Amino acid sequence: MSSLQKALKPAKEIKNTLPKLEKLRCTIFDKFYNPDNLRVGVEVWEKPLLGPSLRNYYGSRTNINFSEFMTSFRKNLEGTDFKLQDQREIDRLQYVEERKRIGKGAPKKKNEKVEKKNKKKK
Amino acid sequence: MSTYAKLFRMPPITPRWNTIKDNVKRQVFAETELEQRTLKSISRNTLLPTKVRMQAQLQLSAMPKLSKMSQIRNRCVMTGTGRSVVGDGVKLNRIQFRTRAISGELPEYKIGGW
Repeated sequence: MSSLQKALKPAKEIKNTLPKLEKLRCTIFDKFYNPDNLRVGVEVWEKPLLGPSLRNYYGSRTNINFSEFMTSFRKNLEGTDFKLQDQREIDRLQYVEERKRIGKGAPKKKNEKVEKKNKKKK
Repeated sequence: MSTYAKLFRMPPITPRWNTIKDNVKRQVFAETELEQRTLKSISRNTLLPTKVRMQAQLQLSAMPKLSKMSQIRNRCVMTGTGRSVVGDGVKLNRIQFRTRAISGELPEYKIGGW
């Protein structure tokens, strides 16, 4: 053994003798400062979260739907002058208007209170 | 947790029943991972009262079997087999891997000769 190796202490002794250095080490490497070795359940959090990497094993398109994509796309365009035309919605409104013109629109809503009273009487 | 339809949604690969099952397990685990870890850390904490620790442990064990990490297995993307899947990054069965490497679809690999 060289003279330098003899002068150096093992890591366990340094931890006990120099608490300030240990504290600084914990702040740098994002570790929980635990001088008394208490069992606080910290070792569970030492691993990084595995979920995001496991989720996309078979491909990254698992959690995006077309409708979800369009809603997020429309949200970004809210402040701007650019407007998207929804052809399906325009067609639907046109169809409803044509039906109303013939006289086959949606029926009027009845009052619920009146219906309930009639049922009770029977 | 999100809807069940979201968990069953598959990427554009040839879907096999085994891959669909495994994909669901992955999605469920990814969503419940934080919950599992918090419960585990509470149950391991000796400073807390024993009643709280026991309750956390019971709650963890009561979670569905699907959401456990041990249920996940790396499977072949094409055939859905769980055996002899080649290394990380390839995600293929050894036979699929061999045919593809010979035909030249995987340019990184070639047959060794010495």
